[in-house]
Amino acid sequence: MGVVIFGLLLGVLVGILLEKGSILEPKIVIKQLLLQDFTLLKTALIAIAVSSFVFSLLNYVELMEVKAFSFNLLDVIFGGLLIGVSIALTGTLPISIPAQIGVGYIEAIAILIGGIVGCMLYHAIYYFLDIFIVIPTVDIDAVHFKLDYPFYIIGPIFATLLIIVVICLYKIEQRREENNLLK
Amino acid sequence: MSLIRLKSWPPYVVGTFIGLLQLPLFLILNKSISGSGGLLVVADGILNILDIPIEQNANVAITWWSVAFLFGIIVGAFFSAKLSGRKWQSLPDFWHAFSYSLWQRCLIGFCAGVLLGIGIRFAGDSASFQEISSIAKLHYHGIITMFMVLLVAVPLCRKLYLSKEQ
Repeated sequence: MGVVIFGLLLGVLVGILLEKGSILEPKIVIKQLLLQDFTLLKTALIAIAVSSFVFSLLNYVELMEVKAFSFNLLDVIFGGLLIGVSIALTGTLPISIPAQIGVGYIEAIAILIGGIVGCMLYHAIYYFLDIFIVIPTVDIDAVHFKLDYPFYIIGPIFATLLIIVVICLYKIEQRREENNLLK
Repeated sequence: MSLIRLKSWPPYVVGTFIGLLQLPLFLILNKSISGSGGLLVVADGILNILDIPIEQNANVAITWWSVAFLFGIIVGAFFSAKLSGRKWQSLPDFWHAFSYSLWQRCLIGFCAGVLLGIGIRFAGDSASFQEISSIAKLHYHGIITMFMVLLVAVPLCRKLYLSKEQ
């Protein structure tokens, strides 16, 4: 029961963050994909960088092991393409679906029901594909295994690079605004 | 309290908070944030009720927290919108450009949702927040999924929305 309440509280926090960050707005997502607005990219990059720092810290104190596991390359490519089509059509990230319902977008309910149906349909599709297609498996699934360094060294370097990218994006946006003012 | 009444927060603040949420989630549940986990659990739960055997059924009982997480997002977004005095909208305003009726928009939403659901399952739950967690852990599958999403979403968006703007 405690775990469910914790999940609920965490969800409330994430819901507030999604609403305040405007990430649930389809307009923001579409503008990001059209490279007209970088709010989503900046939020995602900072979230990845901070997560990477957090995981590195947990890895350093030996509380977390960043494991390598195998995955099917074709599965991931096909899945990514389908998610991309869906995001382009609705401007909705999977995490934003419940948040959109919370702020009153009726269409988000249809997306949620479609998502649940899609998750169920997968089993039938996968069963069908599995019979006819032999899918190649990638065994090493993390960059630091390839580089042969522990995660707590590679993680902060990666996070720092992402923060540099965010600073560059900020500078680009500032320059754009200045140009717009001059016009 | 005044912070919660603000209409929006800077992306740097939101991104930092999202990243920091990984810490309690990992320490308490040994998990990383996933936006689509609840969707998968509900789908598996329905298949379970219908007595359709699936591999993932074993996980259903222990992942109810992700359904609560999904519900919590609805509640959090609702109260955040209410406190910041956000006007209620029935539809994402960029869909106005297409002049679709509500039923047509819901149908498009449903079809896009089906694609999303299948995609999430194929990509191994690698969508949005899970994507953030797997890229932060430098997992190849997260990086490949992100690349594939952008590969199809960017040109499709240009085709769909730039032509409408012009």
